Amino acid sequence: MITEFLKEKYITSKCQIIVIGHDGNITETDNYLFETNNGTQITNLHPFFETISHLLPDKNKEHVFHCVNLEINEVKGNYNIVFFSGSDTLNPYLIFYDFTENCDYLQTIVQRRNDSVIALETQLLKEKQHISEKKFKNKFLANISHDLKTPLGAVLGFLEILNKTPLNNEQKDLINTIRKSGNHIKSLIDDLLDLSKIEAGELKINYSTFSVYDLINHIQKIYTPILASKNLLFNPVIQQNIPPFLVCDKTRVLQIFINLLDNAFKFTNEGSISLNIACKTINKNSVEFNFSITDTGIGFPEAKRNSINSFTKFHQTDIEGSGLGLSIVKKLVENMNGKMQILPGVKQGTCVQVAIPMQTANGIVENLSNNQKIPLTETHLQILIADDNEVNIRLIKKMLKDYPNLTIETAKNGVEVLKIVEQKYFDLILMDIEMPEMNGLEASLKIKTHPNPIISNIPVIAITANATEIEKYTLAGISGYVSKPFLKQDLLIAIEKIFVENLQKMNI
Amino acid sequence: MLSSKKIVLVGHFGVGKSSLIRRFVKNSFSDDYLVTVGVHIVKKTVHIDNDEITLIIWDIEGKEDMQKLRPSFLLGTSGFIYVFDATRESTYINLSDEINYIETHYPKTNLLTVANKIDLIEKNIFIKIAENYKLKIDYYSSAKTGENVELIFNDLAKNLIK
Repeated sequence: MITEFLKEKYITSKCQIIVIGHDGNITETDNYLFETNNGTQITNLHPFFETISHLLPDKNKEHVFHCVNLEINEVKGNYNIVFFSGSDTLNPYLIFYDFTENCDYLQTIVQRRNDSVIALETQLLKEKQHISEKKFKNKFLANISHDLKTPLGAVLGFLEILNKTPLNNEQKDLINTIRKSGNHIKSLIDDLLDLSKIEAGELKINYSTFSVYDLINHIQKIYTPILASKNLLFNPVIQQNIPPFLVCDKTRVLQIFINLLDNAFKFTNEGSISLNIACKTINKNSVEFNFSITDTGIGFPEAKRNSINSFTKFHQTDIEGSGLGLSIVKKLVENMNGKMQILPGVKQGTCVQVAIPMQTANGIVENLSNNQKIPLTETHLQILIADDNEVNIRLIKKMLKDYPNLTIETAKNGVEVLKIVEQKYFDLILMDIEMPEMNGLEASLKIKTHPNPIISNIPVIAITANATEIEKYTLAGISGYVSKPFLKQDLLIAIEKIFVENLQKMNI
Repeated sequence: MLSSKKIVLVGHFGVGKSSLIRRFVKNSFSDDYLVTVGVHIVKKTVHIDNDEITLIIWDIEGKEDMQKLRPSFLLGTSGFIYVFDATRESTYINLSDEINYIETHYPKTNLLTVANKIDLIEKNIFIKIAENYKLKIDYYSSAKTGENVELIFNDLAKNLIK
């Protein structure tokens, strides 16, 4: 009796059997799960049965349908359904097992699993899109910078040459204005390039030795004309304990000074701007290079000051006219393991404090100061200029025309370069990177891997508007680079550096 | 002429099969994803020129592999709509294998491929992705906005009565 009771409770009550005729009409039903009547056409109960009615003529076949969601006569459920198509002795029948509870339970588990998989995939897609957008943006910035720098290089270069021709005062004044605007565009392009490098995590710090005194002299020369026009006091104070030479990326250090001082000069109309430089000894070979720039300008509201001090990701401040400079400076300082903080000035204005750890380099003397005349070697040198742009070739030729010891030939692309160097000896190649047919990078690599050592040893200087790819240049065996737009001095320093290094190697 | 045809929507879970059916049958949409366990069956009659055709639509649980589907679910199928999610690579990365499987095992059926959730991705970007993956796509759809939903079912119905 107990088995009958249990069968009734756990099996029979969860199961319904419907017997149908070969015409699809119900002939028998136990109605355990839902009400149906004898004589009812099975296809009228639910669309499910319409789609299996075609199985009826195929005798002696059993089909099982799992977890079918049905609503029959207002009773909803999930059923495992066994359908038998009938035989000569047995009518077709359907057995329904109620799996609603199981399906509900299963649904909860599957829902949780699917939700987490979809969330993960969506997150991955977002990250992928973000990376690809970032790449696109950086590539776009690098390309646009390249496209802007090339013609700007020609403008500034020819302006420099034009400035050395006989001019009246008005013409000189006009040239100065054009040069100032050109340099402003150049600094904006440089900011864009820096921004793309910072965003791409490609900002490299190139360590070299520099003199703090040279640096300050250079800064004073930059700001002397502004001081005269603004009636400001500028007080650079260097403490006695500064080592004569420090090791850091001098270009970036100068960039930090210039960006901060530019802001100070821009937002200070009267009063003073003080620059204090000091060093705190860390150990025998390293110091903390500290400097502060304090102005009496309009200052930062406290909230904005705090926001700049606390930001970790790159963003532009909403201080009108502050540009990208402050954000770039903070990132540069952090890349050098330093810290930057913005404090209020004494009465008003702003005080920016910067601290960067640096190695000391006592006794090392720089050979090539910006102010020195370039002692380009007096021996006869054969130089090949490779550039598809006629204007650029004319510019470089003009810049080198004061050196009669240099013989210059030209090529329009990498293919021509390879042909020429196989026919004739050259001491140096000035190679543009963006050229048709074969670009400068590929040509340089072919030269460096050339089986003839006379060819493979020719130094190559890249003339490039895309300074973000220096690592690629090094891999291609390029010895140095000049970044567009460049001045005569930049080009001569790069050439001189190559020959000095070569001479040093030969002495060894 | 009135006839009824079984069509089955297949594809990975969460690609919007149930939402496409809901949009087509009830013209409604919900952002909440509710997983389908087993199969839900609905029907809708469409008018093609002078003909009426009743589509009995099987909304079966999502599977990443057609071979894992219960064969009984596909018995008597006249048309397939293979749905994938344009925002999830995993749902279309094996599309050509899946299409191949259907065409080989159910050669007498009609098949349409649908890139759903197109409202969530820049269409031009996805077209480029589709070119890279060499995806054969018949329709771009959005159950959310209703884009192309009616058209997909109607075109399949047209194909079924040809």
